[in-house]
Amino acid sequence: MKRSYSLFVLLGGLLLIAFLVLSASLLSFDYRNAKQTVEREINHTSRHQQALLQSVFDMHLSTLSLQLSQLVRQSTQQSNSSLLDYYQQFEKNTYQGNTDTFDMMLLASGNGRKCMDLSVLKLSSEQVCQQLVRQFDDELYRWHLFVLDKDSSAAQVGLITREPLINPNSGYILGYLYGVMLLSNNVDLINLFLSTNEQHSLAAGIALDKQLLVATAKHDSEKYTALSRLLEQGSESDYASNQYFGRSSSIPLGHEGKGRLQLVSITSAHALLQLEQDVIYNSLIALTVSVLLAAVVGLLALRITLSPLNILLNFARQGGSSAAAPLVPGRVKEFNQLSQNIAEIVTELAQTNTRLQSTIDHNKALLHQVINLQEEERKQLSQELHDDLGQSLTVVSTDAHVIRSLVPEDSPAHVCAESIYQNAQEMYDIVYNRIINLRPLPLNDLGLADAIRYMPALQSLPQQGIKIELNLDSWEGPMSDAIEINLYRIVQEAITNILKHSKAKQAWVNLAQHSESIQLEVGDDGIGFDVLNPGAWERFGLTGMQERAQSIGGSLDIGQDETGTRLLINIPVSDGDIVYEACSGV
Amino acid sequence: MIRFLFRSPLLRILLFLLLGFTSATDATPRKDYWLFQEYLAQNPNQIALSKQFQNQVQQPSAALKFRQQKPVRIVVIYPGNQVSDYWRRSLDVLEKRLRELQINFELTPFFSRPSLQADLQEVQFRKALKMAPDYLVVTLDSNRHRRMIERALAKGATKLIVQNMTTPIKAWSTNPPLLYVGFDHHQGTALLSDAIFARHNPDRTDFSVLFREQGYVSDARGKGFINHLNAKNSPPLSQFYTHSDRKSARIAALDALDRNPEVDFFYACSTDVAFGALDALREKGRLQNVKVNGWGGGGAELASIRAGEMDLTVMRINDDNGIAMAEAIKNDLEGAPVPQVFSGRFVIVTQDTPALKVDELRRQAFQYSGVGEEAQ
Repeated sequence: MKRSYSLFVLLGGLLLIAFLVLSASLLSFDYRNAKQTVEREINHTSRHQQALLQSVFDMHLSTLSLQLSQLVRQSTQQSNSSLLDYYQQFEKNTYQGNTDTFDMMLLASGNGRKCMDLSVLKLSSEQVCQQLVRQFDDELYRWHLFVLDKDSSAAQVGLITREPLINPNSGYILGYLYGVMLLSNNVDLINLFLSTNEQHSLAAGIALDKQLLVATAKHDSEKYTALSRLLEQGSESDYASNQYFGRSSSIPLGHEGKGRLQLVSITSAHALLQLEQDVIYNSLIALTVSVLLAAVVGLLALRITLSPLNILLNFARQGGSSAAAPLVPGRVKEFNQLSQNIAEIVTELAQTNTRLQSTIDHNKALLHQVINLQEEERKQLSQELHDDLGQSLTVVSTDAHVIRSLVPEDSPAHVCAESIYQNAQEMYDIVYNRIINLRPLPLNDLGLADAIRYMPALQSLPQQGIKIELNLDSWEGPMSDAIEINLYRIVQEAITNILKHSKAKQAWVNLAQHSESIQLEVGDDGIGFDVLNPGAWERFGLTGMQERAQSIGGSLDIGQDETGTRLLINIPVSDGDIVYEACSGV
Repeated sequence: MIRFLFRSPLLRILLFLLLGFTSATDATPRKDYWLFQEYLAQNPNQIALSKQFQNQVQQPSAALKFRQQKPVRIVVIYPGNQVSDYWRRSLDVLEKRLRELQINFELTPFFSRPSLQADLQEVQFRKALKMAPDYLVVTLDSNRHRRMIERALAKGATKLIVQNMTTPIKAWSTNPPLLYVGFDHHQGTALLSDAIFARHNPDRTDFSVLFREQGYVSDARGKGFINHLNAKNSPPLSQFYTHSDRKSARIAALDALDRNPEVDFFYACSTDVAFGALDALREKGRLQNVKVNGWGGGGAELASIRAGEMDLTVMRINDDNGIAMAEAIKNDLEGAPVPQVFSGRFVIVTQDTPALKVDELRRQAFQYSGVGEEAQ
């Protein structure tokens, strides 16, 4: 059987589940939106950061270009007709510290064959100088990328630019002043990049061929690792981890479509993580509070809404009797209307039930009367058969016996008398059986127990191979005819069923007298029958047996198990007397 | 916090200043502009527009579709006092085409010499801006020009047509001029280089390069040519910057001849520079064995080629620029789209080009400014 729940629990539970699902969906939606917004913001920040870093880098290059051209302009005099004149001017500037912004400053002839280092320490040889100048391979570019000692571990990567040194008189380009900026571990660039980010919440760097040349992060730091991973993803890419968002873009020099140099930067994803934690924490609080509130409000609402239903339920349970609590209108209009309708129906049903019960009781009384009348009629008929037809047949039989004994055996009269005698005997047997069936004679003389014991049907059981066991208590005290005859009839019907249908090997009849009841049990170890099938009840006369039991104030139950089938008839007794007797007058 | 930093006005100002500083200090913004072909690749929608406009320029004029309430005020600031008649012709074509288009206009021209008259140009610019014209036609030839143009762009009331430039400046992309119009220097240089190398084997020819003043045009024409030479492993013997005029070019050429008497060819970056080189050769009596190119194919250059002095030139279909400017103004008045860049076509004219063909090319190039008038 399915487990059932009250409407209150069902509705309350459903309401809570629905609210939980809705709240969780809304919170999840909010969280996703917030996360997307933060990611977008970080993305924008990252782009702005890149633009800023690019601008700072461009500005740095422009400043260096400007310084180089200013240096050339300051050194240009009308008397500068040779490269040597410029050389002398630049040496002065070098010693005055005017060229310190460059990592190297080179003076080279127009064809690059003569090349010299202007720095005080003369860091580069003429060979290195020429190597650098040769890498200035496109006239249209301002800054050129160079790699020195490419295959060694101490490879140096940098940018080089130049300004022409012009003979002021003729415009002849005597040579070029080259300014060199090393990118590898360039402290100026690190400081410039750091200056764009006071909180140092990000890191930036410049790379060539996936190798970081300069970075604001320390080598063994997480930021440095993040920058390296960003580079591994290739150029013009984004990078996202739990901690950082990164971006890389190329730095095109001159007309380069896509530069080899990469500007990489990472931004802390702290804001996103913080948001995630905040959203989860606040969501849990919000969810808990709202669920509690919803539960309280929902339960109250349900209580208010469903209270008329409970009243209605009680009313219905009490069958709309006058003792039931009166129906008080609730706050829900539909329930009030429904209550009213149901109350009317319940009241009508109760009245109908009362009428029906009265009719049933009346019918029962009628049934008892019919049965009693039937038995009375049978009794009377059997008595008449016994007194009239029985006596007459006895007379006929006696007369035939007298004639038979008076006439010779070979005379026709003897034969006729013999025939009459035999027929009269047969007729008497038939009539006797009819009398017994109509009104068991032993009942009148011997009582119920012996009447059952000498029941003709019972005598047939051994002939059918059914062993019969009788445990019949003798009745002490008066027992009404109605009880006797009805119990007798029930046993008679039951034994007939055993004979006809049971295929049993053993049958028993127990009649016991207790202080409060008489109990009759008729059983067998046969095949039994479908107790729940109403057709079987009709077919085996069980309905009639039940009516008989009820007619004498008792009950009939059928028990069935692996040992067999039992009919149990219980007749209540009050103060040693039969209850039926007390009720019979009703 | 990061969000706050990038939203803070202080940082925005810093960013703006940095960007502004970058563009202002970059004397020749070699990194700061797109080549014409690069620009088209970046802006594919401009390709069709450019072709459509090219057709419009080559078609007979169609009158303005509406009646103007007041005349359009146009100011032109030209470095027109040069031997090259490009600027004067351009102005002439602009006026004629505007009339054909039935546009009511008031045109105020200012002429100066490049480089030497920078102060005068600045004064002229100020005057022009004070007049608050509807359209201002200028050229970008130096840093000063650039700063002045940026001031005009920032002011916003006047629409600019930047002439003799086909490489859009990246920094101006948010507030660009109405039109960049000219002849693409890189395209012309490539054409001229090929023609020179076809006539003079670079392996056996010693070149000297005569730039204009330091700046964009010198870079595009002069350094572009040097790049072509370097590609042939024939670096120039010498390089000279001039003041973009005939006199300084003559001095430079004389010095080049003194330093490297073996020089075979003077690559000149402009008409004035070319004529300065011819002056020097004439003076040294070496006109026959040292060759000089022209740049632009104006009347003077064609006459010099006809006279057997100048070796060759890259000739612009000159009047297209003036027509394009007039058509751009008309489109703008009518609310029709104007391409960002218009570049005219080039043809090579050498001493070997038949006179009839040169005449035909001249007629085509000077359809408005007149064939007979260009010979000076």
